[in-house]
Amino acid sequence: MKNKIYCEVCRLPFIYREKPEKGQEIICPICGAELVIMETEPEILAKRRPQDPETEIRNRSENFARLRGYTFNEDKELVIGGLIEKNRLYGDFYCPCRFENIPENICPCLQTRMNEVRKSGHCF
Amino acid sequence: MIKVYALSTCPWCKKVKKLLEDNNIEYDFVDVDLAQGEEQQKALAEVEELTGRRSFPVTVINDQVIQGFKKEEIEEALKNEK
Repeated sequence: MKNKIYCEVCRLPFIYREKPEKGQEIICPICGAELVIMETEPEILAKRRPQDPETEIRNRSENFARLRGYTFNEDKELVIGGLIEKNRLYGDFYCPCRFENIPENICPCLQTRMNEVRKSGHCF
Repeated sequence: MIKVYALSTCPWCKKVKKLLEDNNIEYDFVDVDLAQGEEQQKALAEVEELTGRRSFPVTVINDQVIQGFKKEEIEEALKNEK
């Protein structure tokens, strides 16, 4: 049976190479979110790894950049600051440049996951 | 008359405001995410009418609408303003 893990951040399932163990930490290969395995039976259940908000979004964006081969420009801290503010105000890391605080705008947003950086050189 | 439609959290919006301030330009702005009720609806409607979308920042200089932080475009528009 395939080791399908559902990422609650980007809301997509991915296949893990082996059966994970309870408590194991895994990085979502789609969005870079850090997950921890809560259950392995009957299905694998993963949750966001508990960590303080700033560490969480820094790790997630760095993981995402590494997975995609992107580098940060000089605006990194402005964007991280905006994301921390969005989380403080609206309870999740919604894109600081978008008005709608909806799941598809959680960083990295859907547009960015769909290769926006390759298309226009930077995220929205 | 210069108007900036912004989100308080948006890095590009901050850069537009800073660019205007560095050039000692007076401008009117609205942080749409912080605006309440009718004021917010009005600002959102204006942004949609100007650009067809809800993305920020939107800078209006005279009749020119500039979406995003486009330094050269904004500076060029400011020349005409002066």
